[in-house]
Amino acid sequence: MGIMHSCLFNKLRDSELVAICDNTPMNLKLLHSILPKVKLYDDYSKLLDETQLDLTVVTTPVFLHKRMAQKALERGSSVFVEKPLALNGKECQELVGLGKDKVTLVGYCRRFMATYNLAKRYIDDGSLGQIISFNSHMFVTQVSDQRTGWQFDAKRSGGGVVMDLGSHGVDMLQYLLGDVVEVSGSTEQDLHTTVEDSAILEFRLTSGRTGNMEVSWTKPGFRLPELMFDMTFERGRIRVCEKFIEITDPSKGEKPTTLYKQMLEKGVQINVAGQEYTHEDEHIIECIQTNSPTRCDFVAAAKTNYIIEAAYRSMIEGRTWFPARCEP
Amino acid sequence: MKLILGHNQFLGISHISEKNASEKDRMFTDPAKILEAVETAYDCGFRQMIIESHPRMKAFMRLYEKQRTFDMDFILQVPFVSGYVRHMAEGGIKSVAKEVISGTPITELMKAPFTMLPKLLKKDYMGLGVKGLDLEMSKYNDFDIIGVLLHNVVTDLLLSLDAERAYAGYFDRVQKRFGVKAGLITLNLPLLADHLDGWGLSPSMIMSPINPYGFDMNPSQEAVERCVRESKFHTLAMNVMGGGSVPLPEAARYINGLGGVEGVVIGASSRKHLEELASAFIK
Repeated sequence: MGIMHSCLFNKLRDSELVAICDNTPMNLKLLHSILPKVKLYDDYSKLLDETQLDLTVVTTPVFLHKRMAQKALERGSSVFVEKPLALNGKECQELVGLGKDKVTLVGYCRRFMATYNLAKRYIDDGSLGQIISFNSHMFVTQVSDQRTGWQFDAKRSGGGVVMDLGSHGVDMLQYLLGDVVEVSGSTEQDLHTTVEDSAILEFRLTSGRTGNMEVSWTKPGFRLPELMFDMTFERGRIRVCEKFIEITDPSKGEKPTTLYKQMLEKGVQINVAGQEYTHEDEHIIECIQTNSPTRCDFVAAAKTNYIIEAAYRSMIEGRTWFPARCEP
Repeated sequence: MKLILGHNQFLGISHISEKNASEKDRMFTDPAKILEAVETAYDCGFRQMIIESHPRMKAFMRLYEKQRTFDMDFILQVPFVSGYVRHMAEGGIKSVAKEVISGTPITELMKAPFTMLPKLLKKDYMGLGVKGLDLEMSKYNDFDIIGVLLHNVVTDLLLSLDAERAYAGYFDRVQKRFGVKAGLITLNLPLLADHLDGWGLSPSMIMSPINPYGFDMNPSQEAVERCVRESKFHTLAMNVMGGGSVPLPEAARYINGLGGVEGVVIGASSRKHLEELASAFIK
């Protein structure tokens, strides 16, 4: 993710890539040969002390997010952190406090995908009425045997598949349908003893309506991750994932209308690994220029951490939990 | 208009849905099934095919060479980005290295330390990248490959870094060492064409999305259309049917009417669909 964002910020209008920090000497040497004008560091503290930045982008493993984002905020920089915001609710709360007067963004990139944004427009304009219920899943075929590494060490990753992939689902749930007030979860540790490999989460929304989400990184048949929401409303239904949106609106006919992302996405300045990342980076540049809040600031992203924390407590204690409230 | 068979349908890649992708993936686990579909494409008038440096396509190529009941020209797409990304996520750099080594001829593997180590010591990372490309291409030494296309993720990453030397090294290596055409795949055609022009570099072909919806045509459909019409490069169109979301007559009308497109890269496996494609595009 670091390479990709570096590439984008190197090329986007109104942006200049001035410094990169990486702890692998070989990467730094390679970067130097390609980007001779960019300052290179192997110590983020030194980079932040020596360079005046408008924006700092943190794309490290999650256990490093808090200390790096904190230092950048203290140096007066706007901050973009890849998802999830931090390891736990406590770290998030500290970052929310530090970032309250700054432009902040957390990389829940699906908020920048055309299909989900069309779903959000439909939901927000109210033509289908209020939500009745939803089923959702976030699946990928990624883990097939027992692994080591920080992603599989809960102390450094904050959890397993729920924290990793599920955080995208929990974020999208709030983006589309609003706040979650209760959560319960059950989990399977199919391959690992340290973190969960699959889970089923149940949510209650502010409206009192409920729905569920199945999450797995061992599910066969998903070469790419798929976050699918199947939502039933008072007057219709929406199914949406990365690749398509299917809308059933009885006022416009019985048959559902399917729109593929190919029909919805228009060109971007430069596309390196998906339009959503270009949109994300353009968005934070614009928010810094206009000093306006981003689509997913630290407050919004912290709520996802709180819900996941409550889900993990529910898994341990076998009962429903209430996510902590996010106080800016 | 040249019609070139794509490979997505054989590798479980779909722009429509993961369910669709999974069904296709299961359908073509046996290389004999791929061979059957490619031979049908040949019967329908396809004479070129793009193959990714993917283990499944290599198994297909072995079978094709063994039976050789028809003569197709193959263009190799490198590197095996999706595989390397998966290996990186699943098992880290060791798993990637294993994948690179797997299937590489023993003679190339024995040479690798002598050719790669000096580059590593001299910190010649571009040279190291070119050597990596050699290893990947050497897996296809035994097959008739007429050209190489650099995956769009690599092309576009290098473009965003203004890496002129990397492109020059790639063209030079592919043309001199392997004696075949060196091409690029990009999602940013006008920007790439502009940079290549400025650097005085000229690939044998550039493949880029061109379709009536403007999908993946960056920075805009109009800019890509203008570039295709005015560019001196040989342009191949991909994603012409947006992975199945654009009806064929609409896609064909658009491509045929645009001017400047030399070939269309498109995936299909059933005789009916292959025949429809041939009649829509082959003049």
